[in-house]
Amino acid sequence: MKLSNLTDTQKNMLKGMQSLIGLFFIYILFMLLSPTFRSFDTFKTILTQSTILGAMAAGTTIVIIAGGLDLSIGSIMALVAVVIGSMLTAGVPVVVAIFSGLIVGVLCGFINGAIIQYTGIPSFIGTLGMMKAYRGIAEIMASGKDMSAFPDSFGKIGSGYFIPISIMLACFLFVGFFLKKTKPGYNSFAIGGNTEVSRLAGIPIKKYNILFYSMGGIFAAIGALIQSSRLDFVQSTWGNGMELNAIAAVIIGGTSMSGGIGGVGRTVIGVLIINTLNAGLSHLGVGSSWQRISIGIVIILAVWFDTIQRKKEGKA
Amino acid sequence: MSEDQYLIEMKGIVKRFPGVLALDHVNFQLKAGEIHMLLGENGAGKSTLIKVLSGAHQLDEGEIFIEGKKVQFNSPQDPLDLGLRFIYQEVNLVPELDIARNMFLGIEPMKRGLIDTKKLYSETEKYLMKFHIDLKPRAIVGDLSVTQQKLVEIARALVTDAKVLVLDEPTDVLEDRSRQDLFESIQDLKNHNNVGFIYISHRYQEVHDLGDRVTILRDGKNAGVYNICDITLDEMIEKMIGQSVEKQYPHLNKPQDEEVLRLENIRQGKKLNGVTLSVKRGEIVSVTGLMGAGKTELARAVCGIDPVDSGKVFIEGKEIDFSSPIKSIEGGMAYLSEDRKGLGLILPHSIMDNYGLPNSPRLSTYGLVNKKQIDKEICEYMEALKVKAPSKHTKAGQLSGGNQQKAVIAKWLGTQSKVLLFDEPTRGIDIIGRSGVYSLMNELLDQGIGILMLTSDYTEALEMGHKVVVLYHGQIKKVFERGEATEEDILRAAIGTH
Repeated sequence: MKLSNLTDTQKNMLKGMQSLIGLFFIYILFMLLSPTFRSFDTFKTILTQSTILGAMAAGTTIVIIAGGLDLSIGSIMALVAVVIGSMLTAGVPVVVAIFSGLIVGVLCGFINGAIIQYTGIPSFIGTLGMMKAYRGIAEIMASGKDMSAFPDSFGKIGSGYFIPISIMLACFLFVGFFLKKTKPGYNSFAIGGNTEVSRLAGIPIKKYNILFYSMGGIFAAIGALIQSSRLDFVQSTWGNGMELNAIAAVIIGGTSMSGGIGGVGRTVIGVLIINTLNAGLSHLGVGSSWQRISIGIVIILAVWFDTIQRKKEGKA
Repeated sequence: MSEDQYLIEMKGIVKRFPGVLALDHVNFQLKAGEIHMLLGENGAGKSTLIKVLSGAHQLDEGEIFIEGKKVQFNSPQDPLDLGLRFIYQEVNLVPELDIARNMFLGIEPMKRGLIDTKKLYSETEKYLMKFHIDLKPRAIVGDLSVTQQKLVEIARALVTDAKVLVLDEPTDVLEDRSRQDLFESIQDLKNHNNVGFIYISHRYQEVHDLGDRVTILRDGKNAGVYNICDITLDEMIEKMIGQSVEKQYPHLNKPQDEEVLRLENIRQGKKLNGVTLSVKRGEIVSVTGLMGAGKTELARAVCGIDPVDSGKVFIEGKEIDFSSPIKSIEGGMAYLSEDRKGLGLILPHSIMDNYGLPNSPRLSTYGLVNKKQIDKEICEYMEALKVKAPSKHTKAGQLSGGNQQKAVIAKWLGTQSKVLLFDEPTRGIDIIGRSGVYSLMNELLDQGIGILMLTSDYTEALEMGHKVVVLYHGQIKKVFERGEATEEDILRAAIGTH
């Protein structure tokens, strides 16, 4: 069957399928290559290791669909972790600390969005600047403090399989619902596709974009929450490069870097591809440097396939 | 007549841009249930006036009244809330999204605070049927033809209860049949829903056929308001340019005998099925046909933009390599795209830098660009072509359509082109700009240049061509010598019934 004979809905489904097929291929390849990989535990481990990246990439998906980019979520994660860590060590109740962390996340995202929308500077530059700034604030707040040994009730959030995986799933479901059913989410595709057209259609671009960045901030905070609970300590160096991993997951999944096309389902697959690769290569005894190299190649391949596909469609 | 009878009244509107007074105390009134034509040369201020009304530009002085109430538009949302709808010259849709999402962009049906997807698609289907648009609500807009996109856009404007519909040269990209459909929809809405229309057009026939009244602008000032039945076409044009026009089309000079371009058996997939034609020195060969007949494809193929399956190109009897744009340019060909803003010029760059783009390799020694020479050449060309611009440093995006076309021509004359391929040379250019482009083409002929003109305007094809070649499904259906055919003959050949 020729691609041009398919209906648009089928084409869209196929688009989402590509990365899914890629995931299955990689998964089966590792099952064949490594005996230790063939277990349900490995699967659970991959899912658990995906939780932090997954939560953060869920937020990144919205920002990228709307045509933006957020380089600061790694730093936001560190800042939120430091805030939560210092509050907990100071004896603040767990619920208050968590709540404060989420608020810090939203605030950081809100500041990102406001800077980009009201100065008109590109999102890349705006969030690059704030990436440095948030990291610096986190370092100042963390200096000279020992932030570890948190209350047991806090440790439950990130421990084991069930709770962190559920949190990740909730993040994905929420973003999926947001993109499909709410007005700002629904219009994020139009904003990313053509900002001027959306503006002329009366969509409040600035307000919505600030909302998208604020949501990116919350999801970074959720990532911080899981990680600090899981490790039972906090460091201001956390999240370094996490923003790029999140962007990679979104892109590998098949969401368009230029905005307007994509979905959170694709990001789920992107996150799983990255973590399956990491896990599989460790099972084979391949070091982390080689893991990075393979992920780099996968990013390029994924976008390359997408580019070929588009060229073909354009000519058909 | 009392003021509150007007649907829209704009009083003493002033809009300044750095160095330019775009609107100088302009007045405009629209009544309910009338089709009001807005007429003027490029740069006369039509689009600026509309942008002030749409909230895209803030006015510097003046007042706007909607149904007698004074309003102030601070954002594009404000006029929308008052029932004003705008359809711009460029297609204003999101290409990545499907028809339904575009049609209800920003006004999606909601149910309990959430998007009602089911209703979105069923409503779209209803509207597509109502306006006789044979498309599926889930079709991706980017995959549609320009005509289809325009129809979707118009349908979109009519989805909501519009009080006023503003159309900025909407039919420029439409074929005749779709244009007729559109006119019927407009008349229908005017009669039944009492919608007021503001319609910007440079097609005079259209202004006459469709309009009730006309407001004419010249150099940012009012040049008169008339009932269409009280004014003749010639008077309208005279008011618009402040003088009477001579003939629009120049008397074409005789071609020389020597052949300058020959295409042999150009084939490209299903789009081009063996096209063979030749152009003499000083000759214009018009190539016309319906949308998708292969006009643009032909030009792009022989200029090395898209690869061909087979075929040969000869310039002055010598076969040239046309496997890439740079080789075609070196061979002596130049493609002047219909999409001047997208493919012809880099809008944020100056006229001079645009000129330098294909010419800097020729004017470089040891890899360094000779700026002085570029400077000298562009000044010469700007004078020769009468480019109206403050200086060579003016950004291409600030020029009018006609002057942009001249800047593109200057660029390609510099490369010592022997053949120019004009793709829709006057699309989006008004009557004055048009006759300027035509007489310029005629002057180029004197210099021994051969022109292949690709056009969907049959009058233009006939009046400006020594020969008219009609394409049908990528093949030459018919070749007419000058004076041999009428527009109807061309149309018949174009739809394949000749």
